[in-house]
Amino acid sequence: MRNLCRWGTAALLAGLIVLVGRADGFRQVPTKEQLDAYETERMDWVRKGEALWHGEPYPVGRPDLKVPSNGSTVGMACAMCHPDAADTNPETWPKYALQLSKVATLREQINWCVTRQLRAPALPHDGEQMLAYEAFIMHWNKGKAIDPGRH
Amino acid sequence: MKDRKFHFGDFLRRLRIKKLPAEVAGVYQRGEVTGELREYTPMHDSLEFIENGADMGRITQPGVTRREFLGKSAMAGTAAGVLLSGVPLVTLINVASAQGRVTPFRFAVLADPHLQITWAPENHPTARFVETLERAVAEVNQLNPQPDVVFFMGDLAHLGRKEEMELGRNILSKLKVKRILQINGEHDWYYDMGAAYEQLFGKMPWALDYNGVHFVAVNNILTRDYWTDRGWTPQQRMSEMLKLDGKIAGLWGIGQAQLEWLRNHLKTVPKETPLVVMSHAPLWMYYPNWGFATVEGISILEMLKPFQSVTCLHGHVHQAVYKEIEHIRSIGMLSTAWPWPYPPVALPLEMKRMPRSDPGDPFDAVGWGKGFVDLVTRGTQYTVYNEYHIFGRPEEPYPAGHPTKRYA
Repeated sequence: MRNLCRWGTAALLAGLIVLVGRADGFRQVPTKEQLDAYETERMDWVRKGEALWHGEPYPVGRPDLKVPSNGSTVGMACAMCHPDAADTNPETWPKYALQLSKVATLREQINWCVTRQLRAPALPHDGEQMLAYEAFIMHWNKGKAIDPGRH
Repeated sequence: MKDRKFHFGDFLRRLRIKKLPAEVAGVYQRGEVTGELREYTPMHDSLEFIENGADMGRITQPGVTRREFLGKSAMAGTAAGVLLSGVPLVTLINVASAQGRVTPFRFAVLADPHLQITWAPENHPTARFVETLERAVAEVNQLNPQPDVVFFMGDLAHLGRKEEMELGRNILSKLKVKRILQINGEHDWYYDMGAAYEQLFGKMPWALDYNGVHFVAVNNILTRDYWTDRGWTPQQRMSEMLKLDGKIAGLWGIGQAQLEWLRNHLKTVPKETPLVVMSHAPLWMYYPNWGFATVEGISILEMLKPFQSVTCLHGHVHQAVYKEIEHIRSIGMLSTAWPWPYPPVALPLEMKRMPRSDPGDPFDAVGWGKGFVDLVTRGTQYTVYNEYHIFGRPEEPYPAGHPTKRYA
């Protein structure tokens, strides 16, 4: 009887493991194909950001990645001061932004540039353009250690 | 301007030299006779540099200050070829005698205004770039005494349109100085491949003699044909060239035809003649990714090496840059429109960064330059001194005494 209980418990546990799965559960390690797909999707946003950065309708050779206008009323674009996203330092945000006189996020600083330099309407923080800008800035600053507050 | 006359004897007393060799002295005596040097405060500035002991000279032999060097070499007289602490005296004497025809002169530099008249439908000029160029012109007009010549280092237009260049020509015509030595940038060129530019401002390249200094200007923004195969319109071609960080056009340079022209032309110029080479992009490899380079740079520098006094002036970088390769000096000019960040490379040891610009101030880190061509400060060579004039900021990007310093 005791043996039966033991075997029964073991069988129940085994059944549970089969039903529930491994310890890492449903978080399966992504396959190479999946990773490639994620990367392709991300790079599309980087390319959209690149077009927006230069005030162009779409990246060179990729009319399928059309982006809205950067909205500048004075013919300016981010790339005129930040080639290759230079001097954007995304790893240093949030920090006290002199232009905004408060501790601000990178998105708020992007909007400062958009409204003050490009003379364009402010962007919603969860909009497509903000995502594209962020994707482009982060791509060019990949690998930098996070250092919030550095000026 | 300081109301102070230049006396050759006074100059000698300052140097504590009884008498200079006739070849050297002749330069100053000629100036005194014609009265031309009296008009130039740079001479006084130069003397003050010597007086203050600031070493702006290239002669940095250990144990020999430049003042001593001048004194000793003067005492050695015409003993050409005798070496003093490793410095060949022949440099001083020969150069000075050969360059006796040079008249020191002043100049102002304007670069990269990027006047932009946006594409249809707006078709209006970007006001801040017009404003900054007009301010630079007004400030140059306030200089007293006036410069003898204005160097314009390219990128007058932004989108390469004729309307932009005409707007720029109208603004530049307000300069009191009517002698403008102008070159093109890539923004002036790639919309119509230079047609409007050359119609308005003349052919590139060019060369001329001015006050004994030989000027050579080359068009070093020529790149391979990246537009025909893609079937691009002129506007698309220009749009790609607008990008400093563009990845398609690739490296640029002066091309084979200009290289041959330059080689043949430089053969006709005496090696003692002070040479000023004007180009839009730098001739040295600063940061090729952003076009801060010329493909044929090494070949050009080899051609320039035999000349005893060479200064290369360039625009395009929108920042204070100074570089020495052997005795060849290269000076980058500020833009009147906006500053580029410094590229992520090690900068030359002899240069100092400009302070980082305040993005909220459209007059910060932009401006113009002024300077003079003179003999005294280097002692042995006629050299070009440039002083950066930044619109909005009082600090000095370069310390006093640096060959490239800001006008305070």
